[in-house]
Amino acid sequence: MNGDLGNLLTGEMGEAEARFSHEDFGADFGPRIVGRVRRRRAVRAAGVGGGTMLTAGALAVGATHMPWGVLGATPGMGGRDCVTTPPSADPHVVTVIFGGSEQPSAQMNVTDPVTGGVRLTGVEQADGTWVFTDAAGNPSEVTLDGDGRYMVQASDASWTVVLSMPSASASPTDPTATGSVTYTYTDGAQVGTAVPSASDDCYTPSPTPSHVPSTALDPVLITDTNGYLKPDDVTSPFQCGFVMDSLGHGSSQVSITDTTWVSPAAYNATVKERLGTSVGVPLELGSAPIPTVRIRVDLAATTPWASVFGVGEPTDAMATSEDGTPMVDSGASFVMVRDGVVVGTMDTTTQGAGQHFSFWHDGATDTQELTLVNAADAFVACPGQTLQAEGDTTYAVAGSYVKDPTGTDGTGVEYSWTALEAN
Amino acid sequence: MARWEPLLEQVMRERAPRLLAYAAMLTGDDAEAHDVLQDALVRTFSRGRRFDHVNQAEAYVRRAIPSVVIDRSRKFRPAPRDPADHPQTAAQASDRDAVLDVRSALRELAPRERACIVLRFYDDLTVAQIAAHLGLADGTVKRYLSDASAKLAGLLGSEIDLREENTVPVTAPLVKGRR
Repeated sequence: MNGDLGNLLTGEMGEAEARFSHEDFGADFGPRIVGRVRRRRAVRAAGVGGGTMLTAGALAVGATHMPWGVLGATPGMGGRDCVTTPPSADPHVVTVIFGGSEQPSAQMNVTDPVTGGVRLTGVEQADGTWVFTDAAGNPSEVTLDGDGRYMVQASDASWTVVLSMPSASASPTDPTATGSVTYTYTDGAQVGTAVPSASDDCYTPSPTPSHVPSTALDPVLITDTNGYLKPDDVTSPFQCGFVMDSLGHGSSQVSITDTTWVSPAAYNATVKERLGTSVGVPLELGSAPIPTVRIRVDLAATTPWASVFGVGEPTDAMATSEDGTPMVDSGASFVMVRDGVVVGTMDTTTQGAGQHFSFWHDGATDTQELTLVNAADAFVACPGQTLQAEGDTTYAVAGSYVKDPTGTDGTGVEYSWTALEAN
Repeated sequence: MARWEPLLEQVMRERAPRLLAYAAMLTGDDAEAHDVLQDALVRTFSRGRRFDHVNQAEAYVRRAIPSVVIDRSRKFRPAPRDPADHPQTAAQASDRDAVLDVRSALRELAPRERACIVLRFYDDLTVAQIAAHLGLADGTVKRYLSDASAKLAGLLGSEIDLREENTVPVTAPLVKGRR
């Protein structure tokens, strides 16, 4: 029966493939899929490290039950909960007016009242502008005008949103209604007011499977909000928007001591010499010279076995050691910098042959090596940025801190960075 | 256009029927297969992985499909089916009828049972490989296979041998990270 069942399943596959061969899946679903991928990649571009935060929930899951116009606060970022209003008779033009002293959340989205899908997603940038993407993932950057309004239109002109914020020259609809959000049509007719409260449930059960093109919105778990932080909140050279005030910086806790460039062949030989036959998946090395930085971490406060070193920003994920020894948590990465500002972060999600970094630690010293391999597509642009092959500079960044036995920071995170001179 | 987009479009243009067929076999529902393939494509291409060829990309999407099916089965309760649509007995003569029987029989299985059966008897994976693929314990996979086999035997009128043979080993990629 085994063979029979296998043959029958193969036959079923053939039948099904013939059944689907008349469809144009790409035409029917392609734009929506590409849009979802772009949005996910944009969120991932925010980087890794830091505390875990479900931040895209407002624009993702929360939208699925909202009839239209959804403003979603980002949990933990000081905004408000989701609010909603009655369905609109004309969903294609909507004005969102923020009442009283309310300010828009760091991100918001507007949903289609029929399909429940997100039509426009807006994310506030570090410079105060908003970047909107439509359902197909096409970006449209919008800036605040003199009357405190944002206007944004979907690329196919099927949807227009006017966002009015209180400003010096704009009269809020209800100055006393602090905490409320009023939605109106562009002709000024008010259609509803909702006051958010802690009981507003922005996270609802997922939609049921359908026979129509999937409008499933992806709740995206990201581990940092670099791309959405204001300049004052960017404190780490691992983060988008961080300002490098010098070509190099070091600290007593962590420093980048050396940068070397080698050919792919030489690096490959080094790896084989170090690992011998235990090499797992050969890395894609490309043809350009490969930079390696050496990072020294001060382990005087602890023992080598009570330290951890990884790709990305040091985190507080490590618990204190069982014997009360202070932990030293350190990490390193590469970033792209333009005009002294971080505009791209390294893709640390790709694993295996195509991954973009390689570590080496001989186990006996306090020095790590981090190598940037397969550099051609190693970086992900920060939100609102486009990486430029000419003009952007690669920096190595490192961070380290000592965590005392109680689990609290002992030293605070110290950082180091250095610009990699073109070889 | 980002470099991943042409490859994604190529996968959708050239490989969608085969991937949809695979998803349909795992879901037992053509419409559900469309949703599954969309999610699998998004999952595959959102991770910054670089593909050198459409075959490689298709393999990753295909590999993502069972996981998507299982994840969706955790979220969605399948709609009740009309038993009249899926006869419980079959003794058909032609190959096509036999295929239709299998399709109907697969629909009678729970999502995880169906996934285990397809991965075991179509993809030729071992119990351990299925367990790793679906994030289940080996014993759980064995139970699903046993239960599903009993159901299929009843529906198709044959015994299914669960002994592992003729399997193809799959090597997991090296994952690097914190030491």
